[in-house]
Amino acid sequence: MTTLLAALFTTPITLSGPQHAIMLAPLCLAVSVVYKAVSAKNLRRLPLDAAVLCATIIGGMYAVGIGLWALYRISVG
Amino acid sequence: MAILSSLPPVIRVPLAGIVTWLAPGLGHILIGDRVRGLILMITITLTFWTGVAVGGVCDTVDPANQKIAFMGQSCAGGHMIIAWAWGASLGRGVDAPHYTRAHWLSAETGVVYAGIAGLLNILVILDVLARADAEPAPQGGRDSKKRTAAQPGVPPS
Repeated sequence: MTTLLAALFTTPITLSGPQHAIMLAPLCLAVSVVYKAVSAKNLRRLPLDAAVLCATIIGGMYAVGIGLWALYRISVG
Repeated sequence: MAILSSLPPVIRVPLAGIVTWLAPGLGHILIGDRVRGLILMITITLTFWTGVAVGGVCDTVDPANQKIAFMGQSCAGGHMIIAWAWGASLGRGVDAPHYTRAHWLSAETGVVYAGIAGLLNILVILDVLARADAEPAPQGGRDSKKRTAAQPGVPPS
């Protein structure tokens, strides 16, 4: 059991391109939860506030990415 | 459980910071903010070790090849020390017996996760320093500002 658990951390996971993009979501959720946990006075609203912030970050990053990609396509032709 | 609250500020504040560096969230727990501390501890621990699981313990915390990322990871204190020691015990380099080289995409993801976990811990350390520096509260409450305001003769901050 211990060896199996250790193998989880000693053997890297191979990620494909789409999986790499999906890994953005948990990272943004962690940033949102920590930021809201530090700044919020009332922790009862933490899940909702963190979810909204997480969605905003992910949406913003994808919007910037799509915008830059579109700009590149227009400029290259 | 507010063990640090009984100490004078000159000891309480740096001790809360050091404890939080070693174990993210533990400083909050020791100054009596248990729920906040547990949330921070679980989130940062999960983020750091998810990075290690994705990138592998040898490639994720690697001060020789990932100098800038290692600076961020080192802010996660105890987690970084454990992962670094574990990676060193397995050996680094192609000839090491248990070495499994991560794909560059996995290695990058792992390094970023562990680095962000460390940087988030800076935020947590600054927060615990501010909370530990605030007036210690009587038993029970969670919000130090509310408790300070409730005390007679103490103006709200």
